[in-house]
Amino acid sequence: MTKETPLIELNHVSMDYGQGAESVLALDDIDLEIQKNEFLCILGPSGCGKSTLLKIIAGYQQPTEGEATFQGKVIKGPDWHRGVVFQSPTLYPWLSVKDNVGFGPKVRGVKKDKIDQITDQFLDQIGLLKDKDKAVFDLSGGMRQRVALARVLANEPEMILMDEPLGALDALTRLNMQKLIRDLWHKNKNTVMMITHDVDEALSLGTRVIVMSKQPGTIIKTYDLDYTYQALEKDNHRVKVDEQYLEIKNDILDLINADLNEA
Amino acid sequence: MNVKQSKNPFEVTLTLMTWLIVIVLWFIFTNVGEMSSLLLPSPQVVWQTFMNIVQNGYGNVSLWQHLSDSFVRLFWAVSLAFITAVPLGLMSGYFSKFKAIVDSIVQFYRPIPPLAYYALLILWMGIDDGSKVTLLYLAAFAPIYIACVAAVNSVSQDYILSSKSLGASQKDVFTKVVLPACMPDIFTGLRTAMGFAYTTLVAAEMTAATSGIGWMVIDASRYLRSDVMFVGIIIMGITGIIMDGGLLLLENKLVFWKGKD
Ligand SMILES: Nc1ncnc2c1ncn2[C@@H]1O[C@H](COP(=O)(O)OP(=O)(O)OP(=O)(O)O)[C@@H](O)[C@H]1O
Ligand SMILES: [Mg+2]
Repeated sequence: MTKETPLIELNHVSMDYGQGAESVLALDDIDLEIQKNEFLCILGPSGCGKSTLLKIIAGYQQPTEGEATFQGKVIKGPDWHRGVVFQSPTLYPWLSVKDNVGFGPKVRGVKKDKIDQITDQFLDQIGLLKDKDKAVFDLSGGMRQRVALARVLANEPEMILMDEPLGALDALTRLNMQKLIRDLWHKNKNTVMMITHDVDEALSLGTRVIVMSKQPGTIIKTYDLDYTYQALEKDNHRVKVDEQYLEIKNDILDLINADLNEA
Repeated sequence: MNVKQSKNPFEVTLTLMTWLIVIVLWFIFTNVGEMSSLLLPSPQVVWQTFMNIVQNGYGNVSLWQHLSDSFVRLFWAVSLAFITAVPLGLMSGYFSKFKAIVDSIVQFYRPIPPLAYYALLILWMGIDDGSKVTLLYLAAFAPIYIACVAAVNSVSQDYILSSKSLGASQKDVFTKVVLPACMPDIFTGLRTAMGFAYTTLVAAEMTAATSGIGWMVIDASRYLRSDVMFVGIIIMGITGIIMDGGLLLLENKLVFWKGKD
C-alpha cells in the first residue's frame, strides 16, 4: 500500500458524552489512519465506542477532543463522500427500489438519464435489477440491505462506512453478503470501514482489523491481513482457514475476553 | 393491499346482518306495537319522507342545496385548515422557537368546545357562512396542527442522517425526507379534523342557519316532524361514512407505505 496522505486521519480523538457526574467517556485518545483502498474492520466488546468512532468519521458527531480529518480537511458534518450503511437499512418506503438507489445522485443534481444508468449499473451489481420497480417493503431483509448498499455505492463515495451491516441477517445470507461486499469493494476500488461483532467476518473481509478495548474505547491491537485477497482468487470465494488464521482468531477472542474479565 | 383494510367475507356478512337486524327490529317495533309514530316513525314512513324530500326539498330548499350548503362550508373550512395547519405544524415540529410561539395558543383553544366561542363569532361576523366557516376552521385546525408537530418529532433520525450522507441539503432533507415521512400522520390528522369539523358543522347549523342538513333536522324538530329528523340523521350518518371512506381511499393511494416501514 502506498503511503500517500491518508484518506482519514484521527488525531488524539476522544469522545465524552454528557457532562459532570453523568459523563461517559466513549473514546479515549484514538489515533487512526485509513488509507485509500483499505478494508478496515473494527472489532470490540459491546459498548466500547465502535459506533461512536464511525459517527465521528461520518460527521454525525464532533469529537470532544482531538480532530478527525478527511483528505486533510477537518470533518464538519456528513457529506456524500462518506456513505453510510446502517445496521437496519434506512430505505425510504415512499420510494421504489430504483428511486432509493437514485436518491443520492438525484439530490446532487445528476442528470436524469445518467441517474438511470447509474441505478441500473449498481442494481445489477447487487443482483436486483429485475426488482427495480418494486416497493422496498416488499423485499426481504437481505435484499433491503443490498439495496442500502447499492444506494451508497451509486454516489461513488470516497469511503463507505458500515455499522454492523449484516448483524440482522441469517448465517447463509450473511455469507453471500460478505462475498458481495468483498467483490464490490474490489471491483469499485472503494475504501471501506466496517464494524462487526463477528471475528470470522472481520478476518475474511478486512485488509486490516483493529481490536478495541472495552469502554473507554482505545485501539489495543491491529492486524494486517490478506485473507480477503485469497478469497477473491478462489473459486468458491471463501477464506482458506489455515493454522495462522485460527491463531489470529484465538488471539483476538482472548484479547477481547481478557479485556472484559479485567476489572 | 393493506391487511387492516381488507375485511374477510364473514366479517362483511356480520356487519350487514347487524344492520338488517336493526332495521327489522325497527320495523317490528313501529308496525306491531303501540309506538307513537310521532316519537318513532316506521321505516316505510321515513323512506316515503326521504323520497318526498328528494323530490320536493325541505323548507323551499332542495335536498341537494341543503347538502351542498353544508359541504361547501365544510370543504372551505377543512381546506383552509389544511393549508395553514400543515406548514405551521411542520415549522413547530422543526423549530422549537417557532413552537414556543404558536403551540400554547393552539393548546389553549383546542379543548374549548367550539360552540362556546361560536356565539362570539356570530357576534363578530353575523350568522352567515363566514362565522360557520371560521368555526369549522378552528375545529379542524388543531387536529392537523398537532398531528404535524408529532409527525416531525417522530421522523426517524436515521432517515435524516442517511439522507445527509447521500448528499441531501437542508432543503432536500425537508422536502424529500421529512415531508414524505410525515405524510401518513398528516393524513390521520386530516381525517380526525374532517370528523371533528363535521360534528361541529351540524351543531353550528342547528344553532344558527337557514339551510344545511343540520338546520333541516333542527327545523323539523320545531314542527315535531320526527320523520324528517330521521331522514336528516340517517343522511348525516351515511355521508359521514362516505366522506371518511373517500379519505381512506385517498390515503391508501397517496401514502401507500403507511405502516410498512
Ligand atoms: N448519544 C449518546 N449519549 C450518551 N452516551 C452515549 C451516546 N451514544 C453512545 N453512548 C455511550 O457511549 C458508549 C459507546 O457507545 P457505542 O454505541 O459507540 O458502542 P458500540 O461499540 O457501538 O456498541 P455496540 O457494539 O453495542 O453497538 C456506550 O457506553 C454508550 O452508552
Ligand atoms: Mg454500535
